[in-house]
Amino acid sequence: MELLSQMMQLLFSGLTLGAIYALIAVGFVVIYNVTGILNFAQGEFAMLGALTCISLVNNNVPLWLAIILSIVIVAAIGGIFERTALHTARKSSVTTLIIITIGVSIVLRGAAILIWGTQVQTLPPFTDNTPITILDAVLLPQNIWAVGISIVILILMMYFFNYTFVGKSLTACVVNPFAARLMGINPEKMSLFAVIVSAGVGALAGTVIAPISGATYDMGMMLGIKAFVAAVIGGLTNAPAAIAGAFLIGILEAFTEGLWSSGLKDVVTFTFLLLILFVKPEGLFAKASGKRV
Amino acid sequence: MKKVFLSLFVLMTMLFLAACNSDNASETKETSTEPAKEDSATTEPSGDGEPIKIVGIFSSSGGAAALGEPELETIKMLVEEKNAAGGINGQQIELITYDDKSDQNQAILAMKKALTQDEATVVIGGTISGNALAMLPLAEQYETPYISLAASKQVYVDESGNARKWVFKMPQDDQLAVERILQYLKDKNLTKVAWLNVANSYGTGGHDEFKKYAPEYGIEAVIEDEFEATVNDAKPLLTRVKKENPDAIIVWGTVQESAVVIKNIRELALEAPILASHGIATEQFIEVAGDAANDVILPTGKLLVANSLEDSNPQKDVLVSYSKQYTDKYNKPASTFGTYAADGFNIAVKAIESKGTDRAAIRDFIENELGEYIGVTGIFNITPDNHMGLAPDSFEMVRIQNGEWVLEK
Repeated sequence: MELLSQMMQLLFSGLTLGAIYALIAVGFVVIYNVTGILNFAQGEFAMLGALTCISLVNNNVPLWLAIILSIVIVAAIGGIFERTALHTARKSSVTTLIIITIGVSIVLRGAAILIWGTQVQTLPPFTDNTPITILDAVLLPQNIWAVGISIVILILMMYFFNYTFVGKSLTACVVNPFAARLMGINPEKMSLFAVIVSAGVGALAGTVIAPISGATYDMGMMLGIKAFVAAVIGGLTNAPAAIAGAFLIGILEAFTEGLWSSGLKDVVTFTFLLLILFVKPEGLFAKASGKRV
Repeated sequence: MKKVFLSLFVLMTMLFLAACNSDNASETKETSTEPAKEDSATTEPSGDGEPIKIVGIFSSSGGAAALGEPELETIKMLVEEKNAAGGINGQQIELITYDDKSDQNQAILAMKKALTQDEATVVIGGTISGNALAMLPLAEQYETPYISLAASKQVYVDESGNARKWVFKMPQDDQLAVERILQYLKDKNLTKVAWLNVANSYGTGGHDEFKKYAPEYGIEAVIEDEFEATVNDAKPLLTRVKKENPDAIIVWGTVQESAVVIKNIRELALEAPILASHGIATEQFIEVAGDAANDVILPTGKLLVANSLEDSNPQKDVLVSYSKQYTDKYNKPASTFGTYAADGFNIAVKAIESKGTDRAAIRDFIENELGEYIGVTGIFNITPDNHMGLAPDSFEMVRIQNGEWVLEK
């Protein structure tokens, strides 16, 4: 019984962590799918979302409005980032663009220090946060929010990429930009659209995690790396697979920490990543298609 | 594809490690090469002879600004007061201050200037340990008394365990906070404890001290583990703590990660009392941890609870008057960091009063003749072997109750 409740607890923690990684991993996948680049500023969108939301709440904006506003603001920042940093360099190689995103992430972190300083800030939970006990394991409503939101995003993404015209157009841009252009799709517009969407989803991830762990200017780095690992493990071209990868990483981390040692958490995660890269580099859940890279 | 991912992964890992290692590197991006001279000659030399030159080097901007600012303000306030009252033995004090911008290079430049151009009688400062450690070789080289305001024990003890000749240190060692916690646990008969520390130098330093002193106090750790400074959810770790059923849980970290872990302890409804490090003794912790902060017990300098101390406590008068003076002048609550500067300045003044401006005589006075000195931080007993001179009782145990710091009996 005690073992069962411990397992439940670890599972809850793992799902929460996984949900947060998933929201950021989705951003990686969307941008990668459309532009073929890895956006390493993805974690910073979460940081900006969290801190913007906290500032709004501190200025007496209701929490719900603050969350929506911060998503809009960060999506706008994402749009500006795409137009100024990526669009202007669109003729460069993919590697150059990836390096640009790393540069942008450093700029955003620096800006965050100037605006918010280095102190930790916190956001109230979305709803009353009285713990729920299931089999002696504790579950917080905020954790349910985290998991719930990422499942909703998962369903939306699946629908979007497979059943909508815009989603199909986005995919078409990746498969063959030239042919897509012949079909009347504008890849440049799609790239802008993709960055805006993933910035918005990243901001949402930030507002979800802020009540759980607090928010600082440097929170984006670790979240971004873990989400990147999740996306690679799942398969970078496939949003649902990346989300599955994120939950896998979250649960793996929780169980390593709970049953073994917290120091070995990252070791296990990154070893797993290396294994995947050696054995199944196209991702655990991706269909081998050989269509790209 | 494999290659691209692998090289990216390596790149990211390197970036990440670089970010981890260069501790607050992002906070110290200052481009100017000259330390800014903030203000000098707060008063014109008056009366007979040269003014006494005291140099203050503080991190009053940059990452450690929250620490350096009250130090700078305190020393300005005290110099002003002293000069208005006629200076030291009729000689005015010339205070020269530098802002090292929380950067070691700036600290060294400022120290060099202080010793060569300003020819300081005494140097006070070095807000953070890295800066103090960078500055002190110069103090030794130029044989000038240097009173450090940084916490690390290495500041006043050299590699072979001997006291550094020209360096004195005002804040307590972290070790004293560990000992104070152990003393408390012993008094309350809580002998089987869980030790959790943040996985950085502050955390492992505390852990080393804990392992060293716990047996002396008859305390046994039933579980010892670490959590990351970026921890989001420590519940997996805490399920293991729960299984061991400790009498008390010690969470050794600074504000953010301690807040997360302590929140998680409350959520899992662990009943054991929670003890935390002195690193969380700020209003910010209460803000971030919210209700979870209630009933957390921690060691802290006496300033937070100055008004609740018994009247018989020899430090009470000093504490209350410092706190009042600072609040009246700057219109904000006094900070523990300011008390370090106050003690440093007052000790220097005492030495100069008695010995004049001869540097070697000042050093010898602080080391041998100061005796028991009742400061704001604690009661100093500086000896040739111990250039810090504080005991664990310079920390008080306090309990957080409804956002207030309450003296724990």
